[in-house]
Amino acid sequence: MIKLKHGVYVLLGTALFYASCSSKTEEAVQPNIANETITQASLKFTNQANPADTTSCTYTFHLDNNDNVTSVDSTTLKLKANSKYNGVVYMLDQTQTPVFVVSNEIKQRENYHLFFYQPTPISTAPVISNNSPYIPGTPVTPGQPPLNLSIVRTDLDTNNPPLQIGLTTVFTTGAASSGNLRFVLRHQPNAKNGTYAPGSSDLDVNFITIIQ
Amino acid sequence: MKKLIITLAVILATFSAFTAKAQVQPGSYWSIFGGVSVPAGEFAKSFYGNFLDGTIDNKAGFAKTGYTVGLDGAWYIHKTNWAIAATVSYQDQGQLSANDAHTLAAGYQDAFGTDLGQATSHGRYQNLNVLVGPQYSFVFSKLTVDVRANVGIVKSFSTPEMDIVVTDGGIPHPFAQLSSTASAFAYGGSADLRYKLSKKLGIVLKENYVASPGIAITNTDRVNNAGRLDTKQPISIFQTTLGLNFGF
Repeated sequence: MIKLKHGVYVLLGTALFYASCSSKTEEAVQPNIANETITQASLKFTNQANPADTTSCTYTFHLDNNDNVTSVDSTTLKLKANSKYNGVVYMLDQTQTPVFVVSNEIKQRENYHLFFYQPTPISTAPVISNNSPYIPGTPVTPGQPPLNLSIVRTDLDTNNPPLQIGLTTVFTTGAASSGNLRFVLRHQPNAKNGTYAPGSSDLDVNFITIIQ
Repeated sequence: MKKLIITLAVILATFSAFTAKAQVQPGSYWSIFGGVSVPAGEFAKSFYGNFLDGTIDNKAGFAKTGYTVGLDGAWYIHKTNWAIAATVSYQDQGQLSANDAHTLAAGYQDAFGTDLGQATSHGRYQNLNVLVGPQYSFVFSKLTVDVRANVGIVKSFSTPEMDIVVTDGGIPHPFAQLSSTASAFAYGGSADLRYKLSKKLGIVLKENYVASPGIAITNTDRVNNAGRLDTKQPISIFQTTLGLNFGF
């Protein structure tokens, strides 16, 4: 019986030894694939005081057959002074048939995408927080009349706690002025924390903006 | 689980009818065994799913067919065919393959929409089951049929660690699913055939099922709610073993 017990110990020991020694590392790298292509980005606005009053601006990338950008064009954003607008982002990939609505996919991938909106010029640096749609480091130009525009994101993702996205916004205009609106989509995979810094930019464009 | 309970009940009822006429008292015993351990259900799946259509499988275990060794015993209640039985077994359910690593790399790359996905895995599923429960035996001369229900714990020694790096715009974003040494509730049932070779020695062929709702899994550096996230790994295994049993 003692021999048998020893045999059991040897059997168990051998199994444990085999198991501990036979573990190896498996590694895999997926080949590089192209991100979604954005060929057109639009901001569409509806005046809160008058739903019939709508406006928009569109930035278009023109591509050759190899998907290289050959030229760009953009339309001017015109907003009424002292007004509030509900804004919606609409982005397309026109290289696909039928045309692919990228903004719908951004909504599905909302937990690691974040839109930023930066009016320029600015006379004083905006307050930058985790909920700010403004871009840190934007130069302040006190000598220049500012673009009188403030922006608030109105949508939230499903992170815990929820973070803003920026597919929908409220634009509030002040007195008549003109400048630019920088519109940036940050892609922050497993890094989104409400700030601008993590990740990289999927889109970074400017719209000439006139408040009249 | 329901199927198992019904099967055990049918076996119990069938053999009760056979043994009603000629009851022979079984004797207490212990045994050593070894055999094959086959993962089932979510534990056996090697599937990532698709992020956009919401089919990501957080519980797929990527476990492989492995082996089990252990000790078993039953102590009969005086003058009955009922016994209190216990099993201690060690299982190895393998590790992730190169294909599994590719599945994870591609899955996380898609889920986070990045340029690159990289998955590295090391470590194996290794655990100990400690199970006790009632056993009923049907004795036919040299042959005994035992059916048993079990409850107990599964103690994990290790689970495969999965180190993931998704890279976008040249910026790496790493995170990991760590190896677990957690314990969890386990349950199951078994049926076996014991054949007496001598008064104190026999051989036993056993089919055993063990399941656990899950052992806790720790993940590190998960910032956003996206991609596969396994926080509790369910375990489900079928084991076919052959052993030697010794009467007391």
